Amino acid sequence: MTQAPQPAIQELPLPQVTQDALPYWEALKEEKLIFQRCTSCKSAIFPPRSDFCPYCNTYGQIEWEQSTGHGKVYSFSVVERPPTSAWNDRVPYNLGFIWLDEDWVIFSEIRGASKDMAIDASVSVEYETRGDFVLPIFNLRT
Amino acid sequence: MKLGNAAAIIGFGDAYADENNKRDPLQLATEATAIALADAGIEKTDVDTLFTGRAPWADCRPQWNNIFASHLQMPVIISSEITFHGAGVNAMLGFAVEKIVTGRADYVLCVQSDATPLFVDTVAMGAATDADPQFEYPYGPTIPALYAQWACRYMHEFGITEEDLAMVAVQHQDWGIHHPKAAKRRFGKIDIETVMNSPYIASPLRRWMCATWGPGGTAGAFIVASAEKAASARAPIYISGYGSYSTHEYLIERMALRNAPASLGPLPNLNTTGLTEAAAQAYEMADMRPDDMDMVQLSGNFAHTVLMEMEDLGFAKKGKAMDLVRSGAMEPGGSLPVDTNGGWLSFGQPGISCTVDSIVEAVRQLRGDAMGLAVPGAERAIVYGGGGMLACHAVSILSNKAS
Ligand SMILES: [Zn+2]
Repeated sequence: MTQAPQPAIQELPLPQVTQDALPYWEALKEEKLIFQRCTSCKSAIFPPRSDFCPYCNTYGQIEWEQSTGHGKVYSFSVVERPPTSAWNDRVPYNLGFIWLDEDWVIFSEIRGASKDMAIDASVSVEYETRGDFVLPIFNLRT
Repeated sequence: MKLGNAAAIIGFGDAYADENNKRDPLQLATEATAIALADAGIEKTDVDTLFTGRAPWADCRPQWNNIFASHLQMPVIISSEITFHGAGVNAMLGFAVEKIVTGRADYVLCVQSDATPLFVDTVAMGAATDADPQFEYPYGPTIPALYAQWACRYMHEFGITEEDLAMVAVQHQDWGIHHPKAAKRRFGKIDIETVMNSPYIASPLRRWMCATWGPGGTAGAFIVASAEKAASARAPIYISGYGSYSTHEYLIERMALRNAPASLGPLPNLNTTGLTEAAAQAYEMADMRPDDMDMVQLSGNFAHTVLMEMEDLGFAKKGKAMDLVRSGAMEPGGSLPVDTNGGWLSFGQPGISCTVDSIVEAVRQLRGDAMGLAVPGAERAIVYGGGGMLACHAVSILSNKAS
């Protein structure tokens, strides 16, 4: 599915943004993938939170950090039957969890031949514009 | 605490709908309730507390619990939806017990219905409700694609094959073909080849490894009352123990979870659920062990979740439930019957009421009144209600004998 035809992009869903995640979406517009890190326990944090670290429970110690965008496939599925007709032109597409090198996990599309999909395959980020948003997606690194 | 025989289901009713008998959730719940009241030998005015699960997908009005009480003109001390996904439908039995043992209620009505296939365009609904609208939904996931993430890891870590998952589906169909309301009954007996020839929905899950929609609609109603009242009931089913647990909402949050009981194993993982905790509570309360169960009713919406749930309920070590499947124990005639109405895989999912269908099946079996294949002599059943992305868990242990 390396070169699936692009459907009318505005038919695809846009993210419902939370206030906690505004910096994430702003950074993506400059093609930067960012996540949070607790300066107290050093844990990477995603999805974004307000100032309360879910891992060490300290308050006010969370900062944003830029990711290299490199990681490995943790799990994946090749979607053959999409949720709405807006996705018909894209099937099959690969969705999965990606474990990034900075020790945080994101859910995304993984572009590459379905037959090459595998747990622990290396991936790197690229960007797709959708409406007023830029979504991070990932490519299999070959 | 040990529960003993403090509370029991003293009245029970169920109701069904299909294309030729189109009934909405309000009608189905009313019919099941009328049967349950008559079965218990009480009037609606005796009911002082009402619990439901979350509002039916086919009738999403907020405060559905109160809409239903009002529809019956049945004033109550309190009515409430128990809403941690489908697990709430099972957990309402535990809430009912607590009302009874504290003396705050005499008769608690627990009821759930739905008729999603008859009234809702089901294609897009699922993922829109259960995927993270910010970090998952924009990528086009479906419910099967999200559950497939668990399957991908589970199969990878424990050497489970697609043919193994196919065997789970075949065994469920072996039960389902005997149940008059089972949605997949019409397909008759299947084999592993049937499953492997069905198309992928979201790899590694093929169509026959996924729960189907249907039957058109179902409802189950249960009157819970004290042991004293149960003593004079026709066929009381004791609630011997119950438990519950919730670990996350969206799957991306489950992947981020690090604060959880040791029973979930090293985190992150997608192979063990909070059902371990819910089951431990229920066994402890009932003073029973997995070996004491004669029957299991799961929330097996996909073939791999059947395996994971059997493990998390304590019937097999992690990664080893497939041995139980291969042994034939879970099949008709086996030593540990599982999903005796065909389960969600073959009986199907009429909506949120699929969780009540599992309880209905256990109660019918324990009362010697199975609609499909009977399990002779069964005295104890464990029923699991799961919901969300393997997020919410509730367990009830039911018995037809006072312990
Ligand atoms: Zn911290």
